[in-house]
Amino acid sequence: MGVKAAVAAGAVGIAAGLVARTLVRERRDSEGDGRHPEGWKAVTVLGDADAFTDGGYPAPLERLRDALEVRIDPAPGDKGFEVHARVREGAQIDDDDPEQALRTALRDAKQLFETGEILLARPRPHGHRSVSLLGAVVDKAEDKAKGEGVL
Amino acid sequence: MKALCWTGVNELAVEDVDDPSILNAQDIIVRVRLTTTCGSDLHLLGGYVPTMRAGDVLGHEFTGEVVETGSAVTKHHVGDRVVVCSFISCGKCWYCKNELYSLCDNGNPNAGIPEMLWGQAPGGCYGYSHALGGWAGSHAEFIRVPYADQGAFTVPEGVSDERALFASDAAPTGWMGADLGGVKPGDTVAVWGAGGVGQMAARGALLLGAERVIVIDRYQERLTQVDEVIGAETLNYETSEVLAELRELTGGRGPDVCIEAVGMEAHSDRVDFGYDQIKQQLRLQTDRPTAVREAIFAARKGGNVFVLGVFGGFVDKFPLGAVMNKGLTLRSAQQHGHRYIPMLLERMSRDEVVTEHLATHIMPLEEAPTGYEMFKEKTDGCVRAVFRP
Repeated sequence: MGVKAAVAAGAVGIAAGLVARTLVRERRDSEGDGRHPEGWKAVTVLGDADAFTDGGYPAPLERLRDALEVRIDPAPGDKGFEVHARVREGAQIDDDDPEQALRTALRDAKQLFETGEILLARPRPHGHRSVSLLGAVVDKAEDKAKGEGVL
Repeated sequence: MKALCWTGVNELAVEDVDDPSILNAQDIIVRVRLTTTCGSDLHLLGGYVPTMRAGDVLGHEFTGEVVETGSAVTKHHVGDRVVVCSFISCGKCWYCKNELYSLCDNGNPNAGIPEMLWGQAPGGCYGYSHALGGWAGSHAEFIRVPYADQGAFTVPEGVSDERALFASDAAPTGWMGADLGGVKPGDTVAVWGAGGVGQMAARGALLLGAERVIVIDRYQERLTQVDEVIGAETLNYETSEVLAELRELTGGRGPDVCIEAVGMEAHSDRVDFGYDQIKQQLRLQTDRPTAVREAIFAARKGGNVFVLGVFGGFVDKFPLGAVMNKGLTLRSAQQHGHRYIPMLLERMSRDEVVTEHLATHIMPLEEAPTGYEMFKEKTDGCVRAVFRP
């Protein structure tokens, strides 16, 4: 990749990302991490809420159960139910970043409940991965993608 | 296996890569028989979609033969000839149950990336950047298809590979523009872009009962296809003043439905194209909305505008005032192909939808870099370069 082209492509991403970030990560006064009031994160799940809790939560969420407060509410209309969760104050989670662990657990628990499996993306076929700054940024973004975002 | 990889901005190479394997019980592996370029690939190629990684396998529109099935797959068997929707959707979440398949909650394992760009994540798409899941694309000998009972469709006997291929993306995308654009019997519809998607939008509009359909482009060979194969009228914007022509053709009203099938690298001979080009190259805006603007100005009062072209970020000088004061309905989406593909395959089997003329250049996968060059530069009348791995 030419240096100019690489820089230009990167600039597009950075510019778009910065603008988007200001839109979707507006900080508010709260007791949580600034994105959700009091640290709660939530996913909406299609299906029967009783089945979601029957015998424990789906495994990805159950694994963190002792460290979490979990609240399940019906979603409006035909949208199923809402699973709200936050890390208990002072709770210990082995993962490096408890907030990322919680986002990952919520996404995986929803997916496992709705589809019966956690979709694996890797390993996948690919050609030569040349070493570059932008490549490293994309790799890192993908590694953390499930634990990041606005969830 | 061999695969076409994106290796950098405007750089492609055919490389030896690992074969895909079944990773989830709902997967199948497909041996690719035909796989086509798409105009939206050019945005990846040109570096306009920043979450590409050197070595990514391109391609999202393909047909092939099932060679392996996961343990939970019930609909497909080894040997089935299938066409696969370019978007990956679980079929079980609220969005899929409401036929908004490209918005699937579960098809994109990298949801955190698009959430930071757009606030919410769409589903995944083969060969279309790490923002849409990082899925390996179809320009390869084999491809893994997740949620196969949802996303793969058996091709009816009598429908050729060359026709079925475009049921993967171009045909359902175009049909969606006409359907969700609200085309009704008696409508006049204008379509910007005479590529594969624009032609299919025009055909969809005609089959939904539109009285007149006018397709706008500058490449005469594409407009000739529209005239001879699709059965719609044409306007060449290099020789016609589009807004004036559309007013004349509609008795001063403007089209009832305007469908934009161009995307973020639109071209025009108007002054605003130069403005958009400069701003995009200076990265002061990510996308050029030139055709969208024209569609908005052209639409009749109270009309509908549907944006089919792919956009990634932010645009400038968006005529929101025209949208508001003319009472327009503006709608857009990546394709919800699963809701249309079975119907389109049926129509293909009855010759109501024909697509093989789009495949103007069919070549071996090894020649794919040349095929993309032809497709990008529109040389030799190239509408779509199609690869046979």
